[in-house]
Amino acid sequence: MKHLKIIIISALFFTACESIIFQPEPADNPRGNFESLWQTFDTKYAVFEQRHVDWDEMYSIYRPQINKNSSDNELHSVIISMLAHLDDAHVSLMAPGKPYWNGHQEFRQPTGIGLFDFDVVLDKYLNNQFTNYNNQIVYGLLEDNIGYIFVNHFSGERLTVIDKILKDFKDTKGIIIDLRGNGGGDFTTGLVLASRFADQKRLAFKASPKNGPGKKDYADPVNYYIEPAGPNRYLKPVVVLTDRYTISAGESIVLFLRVLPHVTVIGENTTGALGERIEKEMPNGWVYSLTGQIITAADGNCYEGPGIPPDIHVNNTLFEVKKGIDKVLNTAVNEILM
Amino acid sequence: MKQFIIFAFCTMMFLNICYSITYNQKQLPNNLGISFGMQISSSQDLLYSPMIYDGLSLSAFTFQYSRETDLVKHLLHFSTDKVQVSALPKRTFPFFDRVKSSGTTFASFYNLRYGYTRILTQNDKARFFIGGMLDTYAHLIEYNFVESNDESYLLSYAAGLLFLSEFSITKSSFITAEASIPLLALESRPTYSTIDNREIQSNDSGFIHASKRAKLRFIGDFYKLKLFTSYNLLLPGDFQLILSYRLEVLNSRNPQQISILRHGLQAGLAINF
Repeated sequence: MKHLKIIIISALFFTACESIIFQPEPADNPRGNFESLWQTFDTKYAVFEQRHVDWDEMYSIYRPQINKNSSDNELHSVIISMLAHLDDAHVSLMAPGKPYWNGHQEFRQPTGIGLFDFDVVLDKYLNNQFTNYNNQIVYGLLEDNIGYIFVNHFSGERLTVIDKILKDFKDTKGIIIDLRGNGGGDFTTGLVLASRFADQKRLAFKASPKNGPGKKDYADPVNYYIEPAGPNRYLKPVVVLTDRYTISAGESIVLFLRVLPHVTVIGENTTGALGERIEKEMPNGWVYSLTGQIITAADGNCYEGPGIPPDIHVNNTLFEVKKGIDKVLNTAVNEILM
Repeated sequence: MKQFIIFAFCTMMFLNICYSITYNQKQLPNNLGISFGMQISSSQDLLYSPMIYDGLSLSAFTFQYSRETDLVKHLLHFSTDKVQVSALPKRTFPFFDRVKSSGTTFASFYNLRYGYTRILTQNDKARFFIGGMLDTYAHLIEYNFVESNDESYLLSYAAGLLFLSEFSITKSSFITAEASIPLLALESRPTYSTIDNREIQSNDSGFIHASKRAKLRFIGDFYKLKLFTSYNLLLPGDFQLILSYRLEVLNSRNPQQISILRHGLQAGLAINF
C-alpha cells in the first residue's frame, strides 16, 4: 500500500510537471500557423521601418483571409502575399511540395539576367588564364597588369588563400574585387580577405539586433571594424564591383571595403539585405526566415532596402555583353589606370 | 512562483512517504560509482521555436562520489548525455535549384554538482540530511531547421538547498532519495534575437563567452528541481548495485522561456571504501 502511494504521487507529480513547465504549442491549423508566423515577425523582425511596412496593417488585411477550412495552398498563398510587402531577400518561406519562395521581387523575377556574364570575363578579359579555388574564388591577371579576384560567396572556410593571391599580385597596378552575384554566407569568412586591404583600423558598420518584443526594442549597437591583418597587405588602388545580386555577407564585405581610402565601388546598388538572417518554424513544419538586426553603415546610413550605392554607377547592357563587352569591368580598369 | 510552491510541496510529500521504509547500515565512508542508462528528454526554447522537442537516449552517464563522516555527508555528482530530439516529422523542401531536408536537432546535457549535507535526524531505520549544493549545469540544443544552424543554450552556476534521505529495506539494501532546489544562479542564455554580435566578434570559446555573459538570477526568474532516487543493493567485496531514477525539471524565463523536463532510469556499480 505504501509503495502504491509512492507510485500514484509520482505519476501525478510527473503529469503536473508537463503542464506546468511548457507553454502550449501553437495550434497546427491554418489560423494557428498564420498567427505563429505573424507573431514571430512582429516580435523578432528588425526592419519594418526600413522596409516601410506597417505589420499591424498586414494582419488586418491578411488574417481575415484565413479560416479553419483554409487549405495548405490557400495558407501558403496568403502568407507569401503578406511577406511580399517586405520585399526582403532575407525573408523566405519553405514548404514541402511548394517552390522555394524568396521575399525579394528581384530574386523571384530577376530583371538583371545576362547583364553579368562571367564567361565573358574568363574568355575576353582573362583570356582563359585563371586559377579556380574551390569554385569560390577565381583570380587572374587582366591586361595592363591589373589583378582580378572574383568571389562567388563567403560560405565555408576562412579565405586565407588571399595571402597567396596577394603575393602573386604584389607588383600589379591595382586589384579588382568582383562581388557581382555574390551570394553571401558568413561575413567573418570574407573579413579575412578584406583585412588584407586595410591601411588602419576603421569603423565599417554598426549592428543592432532586436532585444525584446516591442517595436523599439533594439540592443545597443555593436561596432564592426576593419583593421590590417595578414602577412601580405595591399594598399594600391582597389575597385570593388557590385550589382543588384550582391547580397548579405557580400554586402557586409562591401561595407568593410568602402571605408578604405584607396577603394572605389563601381556598378549597381547591392540587394539591400544586410541584417543577419534567422530561420524559424511553423507548427505545420514549414520553415521561414527573417531579418533579425539593423545594420548602419559607417557613414550613418542604413542601406537595408535600397542597397549600398556604388561610388560610380555603371550598368552593363545585354547588347554589350553579347558582344563580349563588360562595361562595368572596363570602368574599373580605367579607374585604376587613371 | 505559485506553481513552484506546489512543486516543492509534492517533492516533500514524496520524500515523507519514502520515510516509512526501514534504514540499514553502510559503514565504509567513501562510495564511488558510475551508472549508465536511458533518458527521456523534452525541451522547449521559445527563443528558437514554440515546439516541444522530445527524444529518448540510451547514453545517459552518471559518475557519483560520496564521503561520510559522523554528521556530514559530501556528495559529488557528474552526469552527461546527448539526445536526438524532434518536434515534427522530417520533411524536405525545394531550396533554390536543390532539395534540402529539415535538419536533426540534438540536446546535450552536462551537470556537475557538489553537495554538503548534515544529519538532521536519524534512527535505526532512516536518516534525513539537509544542506546546500553548488551546481554547474549546461544545456545545449543544436537546432537545424534548413539552411542555418542555431544553438540554444542554458549555462547555470547555481547554489541552493539539498535534501537527502536514506532508508533501509533489508540488511543489505537501502533506498536513497535526494532533492535539490537552486535558489540563486549565475545564468547565461542567448540574446533575444539569437544574433549575438559580441559572440561573433569574440575570440573566446562558446563556453567562456557564455560564462562571461552570465547574470545573477534568483528563484522566481527560474525554477529548477532535481529528484534522484536509487535502490542500492550491497554486494560481496564492498561493491554495490545501483538502480536509479532521476527527474529534472527546469524553467528559466530570461530572455524568453526555456523549459526542460528530463527523466530516466540508470543502472550501475559502486564501490565502498
